[in-house]
Amino acid sequence: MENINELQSMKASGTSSIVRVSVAPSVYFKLDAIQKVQKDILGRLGCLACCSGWDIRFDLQRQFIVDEKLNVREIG
Amino acid sequence: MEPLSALGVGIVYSPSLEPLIEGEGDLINVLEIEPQHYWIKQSGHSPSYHLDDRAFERILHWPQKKIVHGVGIPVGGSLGLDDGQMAPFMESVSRLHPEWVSEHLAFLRADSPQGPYHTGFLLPPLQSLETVRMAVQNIRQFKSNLSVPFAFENAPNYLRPMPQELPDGEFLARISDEADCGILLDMHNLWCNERNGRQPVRDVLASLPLDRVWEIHLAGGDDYRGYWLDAHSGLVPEKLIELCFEWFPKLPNLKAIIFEIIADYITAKSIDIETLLRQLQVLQELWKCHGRNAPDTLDDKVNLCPAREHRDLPKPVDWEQALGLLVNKRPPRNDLQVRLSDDPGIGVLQQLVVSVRSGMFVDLLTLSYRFMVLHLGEASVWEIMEAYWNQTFPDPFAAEEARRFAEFIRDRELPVPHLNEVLTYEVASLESLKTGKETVVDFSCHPVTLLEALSVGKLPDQLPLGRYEVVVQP
Repeated sequence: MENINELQSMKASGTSSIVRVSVAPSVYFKLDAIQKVQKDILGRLGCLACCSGWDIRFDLQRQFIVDEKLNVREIG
Repeated sequence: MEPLSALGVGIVYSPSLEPLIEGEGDLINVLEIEPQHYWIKQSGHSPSYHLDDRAFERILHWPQKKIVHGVGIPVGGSLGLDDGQMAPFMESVSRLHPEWVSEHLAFLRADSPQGPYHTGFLLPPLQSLETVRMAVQNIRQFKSNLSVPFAFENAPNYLRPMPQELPDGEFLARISDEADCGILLDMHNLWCNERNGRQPVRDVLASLPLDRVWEIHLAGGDDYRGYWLDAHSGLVPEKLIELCFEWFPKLPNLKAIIFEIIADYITAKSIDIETLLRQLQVLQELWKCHGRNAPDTLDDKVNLCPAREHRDLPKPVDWEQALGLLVNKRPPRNDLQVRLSDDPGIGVLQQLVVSVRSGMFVDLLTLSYRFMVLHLGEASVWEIMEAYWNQTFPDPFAAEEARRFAEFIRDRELPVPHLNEVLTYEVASLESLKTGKETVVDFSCHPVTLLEALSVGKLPDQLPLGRYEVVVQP
């Protein structure tokens, strides 16, 4: 996936066996592979409870889960 | 008051709608900004809110005039205006230079023995004379902070009219007259209300001081269990458009027509750009006809007879407490709450609250949600969500709600290996975006393998263990 390819591995810190990986949070917001929509971080952290529309994000999210054979299937 | 500028046709701004603004600039003359979406809330900090400069910079990039439509300081509640939001709201106004400002004639907080709480959705006030006085006081207070004019928006109301309540149109007319303010007339809300058993649209319009209508909202809706919802989910119904062509010539002071659509629906319903273009063109035709048949003088003002308060109506504070509890699925505790709980409209409001709370979860803790569902199944995850909702009232700010829910999930110690790490990573990502600071998250497995798999909605085939630190960089 394009966004995960942007992750960079860094050197293990000192003599410890810990591996450090740098990630930009906007990367994981950038592309939702399942919904194939550009997710823009702007406006998502703010007040979303106050509008009077019908929020369908949950319905959209639950529609698709990829099974082990990479077939997209409805889960409900 | 200085005459307002005629702005034309516009949309409610969302970053997701920028391709539409970019492509159809001639058809979009004005952008309506709901500023609270672009604030960052930092609990425990003072001030609690600050403006997201990235968002405001991006909004100001667009050449269209702006109007500001608040979504967090409604004027219909007995608790008054949310003082904590006034300063960031005024700052938003000063940055956006709107011609006017509007807010909802609704309430968003209710009182309780533990103090005020957020109800999770804008709720309709009781239509009584006491509410009129209260709303007028709130509007006057709002206006005293502003250097631009103020208008209130009529809310959708999925509840049955209470006996002896003021009729919908008279309620709006009294408030606008006594507060001396404008009306943002949401025609689709009136349409929903009529379809759902409330006052017919024409009767509401006949009650209104039409010269106070400065702005119109139009939207599409959807059917839910026999109710027509103001879902902002598509095109404006044809019959509503016809009604608008009949009435907009009578609106002498109309300054803007705003189309409301939630971007997610454009994808979900495969609404193509041509269809949206045609919708905007129809609204431009509506714009051209406004005010043509308006009376030359204001002598045709609606006469509001002195009204007598009906003693059987509940007090606004009791109404708010009743609705606030019921829409959040708390059991009714008194006669009013029992009576209201019989109204099927309560079920609609409950579902609206649930839709927002569940939407926040999957939007901001996306990978955690998928991880939980893949391990535990949908039904179990839904039970966990319901348990959280039963224990907490909503936080209207998405990032705060996500953070709290993540804590709740962690405390449950679910049998999902590495779930806490994914939760921590997602919360850290939000924090990093809010603060602009780096955060470090420990993983006991290969984070890239896990996160990559969840990003495509599956569990990793193999998950190497080890000690990792994920540096989340803003």
